[in-house]
Amino acid sequence: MQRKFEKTLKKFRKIHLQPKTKEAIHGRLLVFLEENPLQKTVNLKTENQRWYSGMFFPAFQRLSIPLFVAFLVFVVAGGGTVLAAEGAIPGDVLYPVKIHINEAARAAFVFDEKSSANLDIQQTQRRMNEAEKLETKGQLNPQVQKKISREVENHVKRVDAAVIKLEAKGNTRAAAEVRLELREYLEKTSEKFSALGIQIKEEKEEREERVDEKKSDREKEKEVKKEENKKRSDNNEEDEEKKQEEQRINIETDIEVNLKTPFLNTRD
Amino acid sequence: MQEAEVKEQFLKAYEASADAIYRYCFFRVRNNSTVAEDVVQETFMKVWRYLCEGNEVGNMRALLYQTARNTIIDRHKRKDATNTSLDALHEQGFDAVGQDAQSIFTEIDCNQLLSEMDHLEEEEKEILVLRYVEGHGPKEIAAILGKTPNQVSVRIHRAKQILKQRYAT
Repeated sequence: MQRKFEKTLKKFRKIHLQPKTKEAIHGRLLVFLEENPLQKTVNLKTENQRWYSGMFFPAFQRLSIPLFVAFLVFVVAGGGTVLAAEGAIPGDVLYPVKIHINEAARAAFVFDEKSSANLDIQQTQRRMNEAEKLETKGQLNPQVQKKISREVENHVKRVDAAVIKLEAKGNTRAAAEVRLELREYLEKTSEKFSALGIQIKEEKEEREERVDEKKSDREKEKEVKKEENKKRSDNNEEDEEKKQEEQRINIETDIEVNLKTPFLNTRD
Repeated sequence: MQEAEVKEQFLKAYEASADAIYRYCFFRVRNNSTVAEDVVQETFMKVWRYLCEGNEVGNMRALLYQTARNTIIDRHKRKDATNTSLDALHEQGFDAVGQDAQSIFTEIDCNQLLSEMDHLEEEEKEILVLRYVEGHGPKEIAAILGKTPNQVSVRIHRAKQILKQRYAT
């Protein structure tokens, strides 16, 4: 049994910096960092880097512990079970191996958001194939439908997350391509999915809203640009008019001066 | 690693470790939250300066604890402003710490434990905080304190024995 003092000591975990103070120190640190730039590039290992990072090759730096274990299982089991699991459908003993080891291992070797999103779209197709197989066998009950729906939703969520990451990185082209691919895929398969009783929750609507928002934002930007251009051209016209007016005034004054100058008068 | 990347990682480390370092300092400076806050800021600045000198960092968290520890020792050397009694702790007022802490300090258990911990050696107290408040293992504590994991385990055992005798189990 855990001792009383150990339990009491754990209560002290509640002590923390006041959010305002934490924010204030963060601000002062930012200023300090600006004032004291790094002289050389340095290697800074963070908490996220695992002990096995760099043990074999850099690819492992991105692996989480479960994926690393999955990889080890893959190696140790010689791939036999893992290969057998490829054809598994929900309800089979090997189905969890297919989902949590085979597919997780595949995902672990994908290192950019776009490929990761494509993989998730492919895996959504695999879920559909499984549902079709179950349906032909007459084993597609509501419980399984719910489970597959959840899996499909997870894949779609991951694709959405990849899109957000790509946008955050400024890779808007890749983000738009992935978004379009997912949208086309869902549009193409929505009837099939609903025929199989697989529901994909309102994610689609939210996604479309987001797309619409972006569109309207883009339209707004265009309008603003148009207005700016218009103003600029108006200003140019005004400038030109002013110039012409100035030229006209200059000519007039020249003529006046010429008329008033006696030298010119005598010459005439 | 480029400067922007190092800065980002450093600020992430601040977000992730500031509370833990604050708690550690809080216990080491006799529950004086203002001093603990100052030490937290000074610690992160010192670590950044260390990076500026081009030094590599293997274990960021351990380096932060070590720097906080050294900063507190330096402060103790500069002025012996420590106040060891529990009465003094009350006088300083627990209102100086966060609300959560305030509420837990009203618990008799916590006050009693703090009082009992005052009978421990400074290092034993420090090890207990790292072990049971922060949940670090002997290996990590050893890296922070510059000792062997075996030495740390022995100190934990010893401190527990003392508390067991003094404090109701």
